Amino acid sequence: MADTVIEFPAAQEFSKVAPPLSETFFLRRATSVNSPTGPISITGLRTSGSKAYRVIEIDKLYPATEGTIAEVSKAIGLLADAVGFLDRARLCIENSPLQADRELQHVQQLLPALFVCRKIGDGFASVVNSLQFAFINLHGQLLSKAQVTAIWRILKELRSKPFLSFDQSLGLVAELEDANLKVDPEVLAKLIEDE
Amino acid sequence: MPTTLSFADFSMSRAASELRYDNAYLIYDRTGQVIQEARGHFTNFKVTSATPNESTFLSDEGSFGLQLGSCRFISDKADASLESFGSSCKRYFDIVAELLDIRMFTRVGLRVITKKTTKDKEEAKALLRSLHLANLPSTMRFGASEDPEEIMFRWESSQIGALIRLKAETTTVDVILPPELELSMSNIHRSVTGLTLDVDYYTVAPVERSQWDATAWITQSMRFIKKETTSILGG
Repeated sequence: MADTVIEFPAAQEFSKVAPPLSETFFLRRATSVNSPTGPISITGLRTSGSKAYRVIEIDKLYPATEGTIAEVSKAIGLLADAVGFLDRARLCIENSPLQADRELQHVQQLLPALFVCRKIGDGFASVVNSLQFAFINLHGQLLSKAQVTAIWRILKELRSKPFLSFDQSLGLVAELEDANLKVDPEVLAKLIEDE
Repeated sequence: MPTTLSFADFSMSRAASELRYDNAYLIYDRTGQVIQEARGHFTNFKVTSATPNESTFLSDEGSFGLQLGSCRFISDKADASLESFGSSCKRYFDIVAELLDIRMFTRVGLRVITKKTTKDKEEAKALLRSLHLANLPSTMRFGASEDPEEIMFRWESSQIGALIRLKAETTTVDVILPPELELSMSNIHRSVTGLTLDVDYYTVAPVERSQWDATAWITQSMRFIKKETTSILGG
């Protein structure tokens, strides 16, 4: 007599089980505070990383707050002023060179204050030093529109990336040289000639 | 009349700063170099765990994490202004960014956890309620309790974001001491009750390495956190 055949129950289709609702569990990552010495239990939320493509605005990264003593904030403010003067100089350099010269003198006056902020980094110091010498070596001669534009562009770049490396700064200094600005002290050229 | 508090009423418990970046595959070649460099910059620097994707280190200054897509520095004894914390972060993050050739950070974050101790949890809850941060009438919710014991706010733009969390809680520490120490007590049990203030201040838009400096950003962000938090708490 044949054994009664008992049909084996069909396997449950586990794949059809609905996944848990992700909304209930926060997957937003906050800055992690879990130390290797022992996790801290209060890390709750986690925010996802950035997917934006435009880099952050420097004024948002270092907002000007009351009582700020950070050199970078001071430098960002001074550079904003310098870019403003150069903006106006570019507009009037062809029709009103005297007015442009006045604006450029304001820029030159800001350079010593920027020089004081050179602790920001070697790249920052290198660009500011080069600009100082570029103005000194002009001996009061008015800049051309191309030179004003070059300085305007470089200061804008320096403002958005104040912590640029020395190597990166060399690219900016080369742009000044391309605009026929002499960025080295004249005495240096004489010393080299003497040798 | 709502109670007012200021950031100064809370004492620093833990500070953490974290950089996130696109996967830095040089981690597979240069973790050893990171360790070697960091050993020269921190006191009693020790490797607590090292795997290809993630390593953790410890020193007298704090603890360090290094992962394929992020690195962090955490300190449980950070100074109030975060100046010395910021300088430790700078030394560590500069080493990591240089050796792993990271030029862009997808997120930069500073998280500060502070605490105001109270007699018991009820007092901490009462303090949280008296701040009147949430405009909710006091009534039983979800059959759990009348008042929330945790309140969170997040502000976020396309550039910067901040999360503030206040929680009435009890933190317990249980340590079993090894018998070899031959001490009169065999374990340490300590619980601290109070109101925890947890602030996470972070960037949303990517940050270029040439835009960012740990010392400058952390100290300035800390001043900003103090000012904004005090204003939120009504102080």
